[in-house]
Amino acid sequence: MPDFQHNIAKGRGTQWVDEIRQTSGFSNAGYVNSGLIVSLWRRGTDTDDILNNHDDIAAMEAAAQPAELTSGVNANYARKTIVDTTPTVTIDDTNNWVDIDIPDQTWVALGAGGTAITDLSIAFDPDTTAGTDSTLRPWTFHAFAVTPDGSDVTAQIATLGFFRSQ
Amino acid sequence: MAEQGLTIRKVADTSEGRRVVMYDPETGDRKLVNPDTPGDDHEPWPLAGIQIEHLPKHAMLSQSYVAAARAEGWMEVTGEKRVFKPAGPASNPWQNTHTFIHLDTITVKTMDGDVTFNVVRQPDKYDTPHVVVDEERNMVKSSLKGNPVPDTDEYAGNPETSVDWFYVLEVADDA
Repeated sequence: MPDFQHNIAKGRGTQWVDEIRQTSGFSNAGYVNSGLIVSLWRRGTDTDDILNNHDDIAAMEAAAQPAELTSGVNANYARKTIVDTTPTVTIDDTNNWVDIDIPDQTWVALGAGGTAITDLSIAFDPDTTAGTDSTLRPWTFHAFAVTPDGSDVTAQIATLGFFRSQ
Repeated sequence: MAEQGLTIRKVADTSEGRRVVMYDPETGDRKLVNPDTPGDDHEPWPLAGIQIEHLPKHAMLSQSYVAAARAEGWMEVTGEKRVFKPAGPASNPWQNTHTFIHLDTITVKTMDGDVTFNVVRQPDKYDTPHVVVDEERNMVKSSLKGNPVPDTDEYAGNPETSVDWFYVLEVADDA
């Protein structure tokens, strides 16, 4: 589960996943190419309460801190895209919550460089084919400390999911 | 039936007992408390059973989700086989190891009967890189193609490979 949700995402995440999976009863035609975007970050000295104010990924990129990895510094880095058939939703009536799961994510042969990775971000992209970082909504932010050395880097998602709505 | 992610419902047995909503004073997390038992720890309702909502013809489940569901007793599998692939850098291929669990079938024990899926693609390290979705934004996704690599050293630290941690499932004909 995340360290925090971005304020812009609160109350919206589970609906976003329905849009991605095209199971929404509302506006799936507007989000037909949507997806979740998983990225790796160095947060610097910014606290959760500073980071969760960012409303889009462009704003996070433009801030003095944090900094997303780049393939120029860490070879073979790329943002991972999670699309329609992948997320699993568990409606848990025994606990009165909903869990959203995605598979573990591996960055193969992630090159050394820069300082250690500190966090993993999951964002909602309403259009993976024509969107921009300005339309990419940050959703959850997770502590993920690793120093790349050319190994495969795997982010292990919690057993029943990365997000719980309750 | 369309291709889409699975939605699983854990149905509560609320026929006996009661629960009240409380909030953890330190974390603020919401919890269900049984006023008829000592303490105020979170205590879920008993599980009446599992339902699959909108059963798709094809679906994906993560390896970790299947492991958790098996531990909870509402999912069964056949043909389990452990597969190991190098995850270290090229200079030290087995510094780290990927452990994949290959399966033949996955059966969800639902309240309406068993639903069996055939596994048509396994979690593994594949001989194709993830495909580019948006080059400008440096976004990639699983190709859902290629073949599992052998467990030999040349596939460590090799950017022409990719790793997927999910099963691709197809509903068995008799489901």
